[in-house]
Amino acid sequence: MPFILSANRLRDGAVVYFAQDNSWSERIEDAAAVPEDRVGKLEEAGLDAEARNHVVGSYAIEVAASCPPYSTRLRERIRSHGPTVGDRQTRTAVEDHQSRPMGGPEG
Amino acid sequence: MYVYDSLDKTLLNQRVAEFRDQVQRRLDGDLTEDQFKPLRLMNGLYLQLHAYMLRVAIPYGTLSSDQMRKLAYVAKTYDRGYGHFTTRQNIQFNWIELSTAPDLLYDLSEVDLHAIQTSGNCIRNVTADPYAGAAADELDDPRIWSEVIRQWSTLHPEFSFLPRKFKIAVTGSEADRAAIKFHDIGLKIVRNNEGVLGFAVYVGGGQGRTPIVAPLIKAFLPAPDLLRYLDAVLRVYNRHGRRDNIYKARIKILVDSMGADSFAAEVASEFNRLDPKLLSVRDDDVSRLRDMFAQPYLRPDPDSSSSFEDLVKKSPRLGPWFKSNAHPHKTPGYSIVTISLKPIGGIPGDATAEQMFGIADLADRFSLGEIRVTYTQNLILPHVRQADLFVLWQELERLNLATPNVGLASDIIACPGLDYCSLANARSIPISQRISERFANLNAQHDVGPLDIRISGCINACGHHHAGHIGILGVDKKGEERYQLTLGGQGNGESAVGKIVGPGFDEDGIVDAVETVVSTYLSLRTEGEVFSQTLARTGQDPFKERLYDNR
Repeated sequence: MPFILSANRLRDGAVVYFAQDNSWSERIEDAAAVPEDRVGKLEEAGLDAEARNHVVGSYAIEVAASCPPYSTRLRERIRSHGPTVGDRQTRTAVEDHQSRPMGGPEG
Repeated sequence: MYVYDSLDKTLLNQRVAEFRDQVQRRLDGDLTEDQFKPLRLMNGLYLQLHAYMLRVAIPYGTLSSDQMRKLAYVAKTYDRGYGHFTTRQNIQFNWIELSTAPDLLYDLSEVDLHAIQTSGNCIRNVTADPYAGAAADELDDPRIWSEVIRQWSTLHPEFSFLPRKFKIAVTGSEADRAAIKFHDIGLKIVRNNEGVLGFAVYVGGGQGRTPIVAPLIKAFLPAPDLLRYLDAVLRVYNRHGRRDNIYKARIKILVDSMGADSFAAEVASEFNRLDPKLLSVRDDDVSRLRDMFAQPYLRPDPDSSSSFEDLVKKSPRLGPWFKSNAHPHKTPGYSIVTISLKPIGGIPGDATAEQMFGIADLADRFSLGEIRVTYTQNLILPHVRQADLFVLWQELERLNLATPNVGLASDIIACPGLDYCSLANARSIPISQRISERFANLNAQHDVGPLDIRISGCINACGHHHAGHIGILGVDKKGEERYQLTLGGQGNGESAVGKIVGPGFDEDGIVDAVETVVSTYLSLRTEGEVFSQTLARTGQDPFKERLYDNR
């Protein structure tokens, strides 16, 4: 299973993902997915961004090989889609839970 | 209410300026995250799943209408239009940006609010009976003594780096509405045989992974000795508390391992070493605080209650609300009104900015501008004339704040859980919403009677599940949310830790299980019995049979 890199943005705490173009995106769809043998490189990019005070708490997440990347962990799905109970402004993970089985990704 | 003096205001202003500088240095890269994290936590700013979360202190759960308006303004200006009242009688804002947090704290300081000591291993914001100053059974106003403790503990240099966080709760009534025995120190105001005012002191209670009901350490502590005794307790804890293991660092572990008697003896010895001249609570200081908390005179109005009772008979929807949400006031003709923040299917403890603005206005119109926050995540208007109750109820209905369910099945305590909290293992809020919807029929809830359902999303137990008649603990089992069920906890009045019934349930199963527990109780109860009494009489076995026999 591939891995993606996530963190919280320093300035506002928003959940962000390390993208193909070396930027940090709020959209999990933009996350760069790498095979397990390149996780070390991915984590180095996270530490570099932390050292440059762009993000905090970076870590690699194992995801299903799907588009967009799909984590089997509910915690990560809530981070990417927002609270399942709705936060009144953002789209919520409720739709995600309704459209996908809890146990794993579709197709 | 307590009014900040120039010393308090100077402290707040300096603290805001200091934090503004710290935030700027962090954003500029002059401070690393490791250096900055303890500084932001000292100002109540956590990094949670989606954003920074700010926990604002509401000292002993007391708010003025102007303070509530400011919280509403903060919700609207810096957050996404709402705030979340917590089991610590505080409010949390879930969507805060680091870059604007100093401006937010400056705005709060304008109404004497702050986030100091809402995090970290220090003495946290003191909590108290939300009926303070209004309850008929009160020996003395716990806010006076809570404020004494606040002034003593604020930025206390010796107690700013304790082995773990430290929570103190105070009640002035026989009926414990502050869950004092689930705190590191619980203080109950008492009088001795000579009529002298003092405290019964309970030390070493708490929830979390080791739930303990605090033992009584001192049956009568004369009121002037309060700070000297607290100082002695904290010194013994600071000296012997486990700093090597975070799970064993709370004072409850120390008291439990030493034994309550040995711990009390060591505290007594330390107490005798401390200079009474330095730490005695002076009569003139207490008198000054007593004047500040003295409420304006309420003219007894016994006719008001009888005319209101006539109105209740005429309005079928008003009756249940009056029964569950209004409590007798010490002044005839007045009520203590609880505003339920638990609409059916809603998020426990959440209030929108519009609701907060509305509550502030209602407090001005009907309750001398005073509001209280309860640890059960509701709000209170403490001084409402019964002649005004009908209009107040109509206004609360307009704000969607008139749910007549206080103390009933849908008045559920729930922590933020995995939807917001970085510590959580499972979601709490959706479970509470589904249980609330399952019991949506308010007439049926009134028939079920007092029922305390509490949900935590992890073993830290912010949702007080150990102390619920029905407690639910969310856990992560191989990547799946599972929910353990406990029965028999007590948090209101009596204090007891619930016992796990059996194997856990999935998300659907736990909602069904709660319904099964309630239907079992209804089939077992005798005339006039409430849930906790039936459970105490029958034990868990009949509940277990119904829960697990067909699985």
